[in-house]
Amino acid sequence: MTGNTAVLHQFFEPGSIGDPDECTDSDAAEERLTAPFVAVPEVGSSRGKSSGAWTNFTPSGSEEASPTAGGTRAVTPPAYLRRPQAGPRAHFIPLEKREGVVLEIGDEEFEARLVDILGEEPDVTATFSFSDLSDDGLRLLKVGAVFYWNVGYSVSPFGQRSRVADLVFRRLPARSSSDVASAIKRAEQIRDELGLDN
Amino acid sequence: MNLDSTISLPSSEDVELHVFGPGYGESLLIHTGQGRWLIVDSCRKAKAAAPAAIEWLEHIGVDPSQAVTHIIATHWHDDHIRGLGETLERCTNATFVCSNALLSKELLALTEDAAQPLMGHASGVDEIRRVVAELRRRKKDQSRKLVGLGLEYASADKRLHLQDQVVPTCEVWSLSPSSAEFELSLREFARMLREGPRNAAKPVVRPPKPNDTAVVLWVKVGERVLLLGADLEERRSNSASTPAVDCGWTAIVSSNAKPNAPAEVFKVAHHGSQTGHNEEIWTRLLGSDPLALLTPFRNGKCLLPNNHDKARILQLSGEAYISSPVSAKRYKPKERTVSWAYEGKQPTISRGMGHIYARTSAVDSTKNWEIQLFEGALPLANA
Repeated sequence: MTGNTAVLHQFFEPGSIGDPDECTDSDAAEERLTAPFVAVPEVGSSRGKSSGAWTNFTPSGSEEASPTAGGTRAVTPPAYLRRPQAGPRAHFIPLEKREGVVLEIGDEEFEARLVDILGEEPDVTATFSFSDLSDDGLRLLKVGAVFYWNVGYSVSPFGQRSRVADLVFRRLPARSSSDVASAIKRAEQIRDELGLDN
Repeated sequence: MNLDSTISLPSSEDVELHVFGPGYGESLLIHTGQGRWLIVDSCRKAKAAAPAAIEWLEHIGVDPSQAVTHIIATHWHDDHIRGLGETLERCTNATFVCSNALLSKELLALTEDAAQPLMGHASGVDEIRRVVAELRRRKKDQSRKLVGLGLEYASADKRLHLQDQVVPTCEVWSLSPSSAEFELSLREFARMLREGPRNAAKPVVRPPKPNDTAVVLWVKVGERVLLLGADLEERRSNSASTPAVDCGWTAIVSSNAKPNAPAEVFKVAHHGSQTGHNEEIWTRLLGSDPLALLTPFRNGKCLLPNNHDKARILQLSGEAYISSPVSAKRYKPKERTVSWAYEGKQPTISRGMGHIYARTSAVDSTKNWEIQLFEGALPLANA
């Protein structure tokens, strides 16, 4: 995350998002806010259990007799190589998701038009305070900028609910001169195809 | 669409003008006689099944694919273009009319560059791409028996359509954009392309201001003349002290090549704003006491027409109607659980698709215009 979000009530596990360099702000926010509850089978104690990948662990990581079809012995990894036990993760219950576009920017607030992207709610024009934005969000704020505004509940791994309104700007990577040249070429192709002079 | 059940189809000699405007958006639908229709721009209610003009035609039992002869895109601002691509797809026999700038290499490059789609906002860019896709499809469609695309460019003082073999006759002229406006637009598109976002927030591509490519239309059906002002505004000259004589309304009123008959109905330009006003529109292009119809524009804190605009239009026109109140309506979320998120944000919504319906005889000029107002539409004096 690049930090251009404003989470009013945040209850997320740190590090639950992927590498920030691999996704856009919106991707990250999308993942964070819509990640379903991942029901991971309880591994529980390694001793005496007969299901799961590491059922034959021993506390010391020593080998334990475990007959296989070929009659060989299964090798139990030592404790420091064990996969961390996964438990319930935080998740988000969306109530309203809107795509916004900045219309006007004032001294301490900005106007935006919000389009409902989940349901049938009408377009809304609303005034957001600059305090709804992080420093990075303020840097990205400009007329015409597109953002996502997600309202809902975040649910902690322990089932605690908190209300969340998250505003994330959509970014574009830097546009190079070759991108522009490529767009012009595609435009010329379209005009060719339509039989219009270039 | 919630409509009065007493609505009837126009007779073959009636001229009708429908003005749709939900508060952010504008579209006109004109019956030009003999069951033929012309659509100017497009708007739609959020989540509506079809653009407003198409929805109306289907409601009265008219097949848009057969009855619509022309679709005219006056310019590419979001509030005039929502649903334009679908309109073109549905009206398969219609000629598409736009300014040269709309299909210019510069603007197409801009739309190609901004091709990343948005989920909720149907931006002008997306609509242009959809229009281009439909034109490409038509080009490949051998069954159309056309060499061209069914495309006509609008420019100053150009006759776009003449139907003089039937009664009522129909003539459609574009009065803009001028050559200077076309050139300014291309320059602006090229600048926008060069100065695109660089590691910044993804913007919607915003058309330049003023609306240099706006197509003003002069439509004559039988004895009736309509002037449809689009969003044309005045542009200041380089010295900035006077209006540029080769742009905007100043160029139109001073042209000697345009048709001369004064109009009795005016779709007021640019939502009644001062920048779209020129006194000579009312003295040289319109007859006495014209019927003035307009749509509001609500975008953030920008509300048009303002009180000064309303007073001016009421003074200059005989009757004036607006498709929807200028002010917006307070939004209350259905889900009480999200109300807290809107606290302090002064959320407002459009008042719904307003619709002004004007009908009269095209051949009997003694008949008055019959006006019906649907949903939010109201006399301008009450807005």
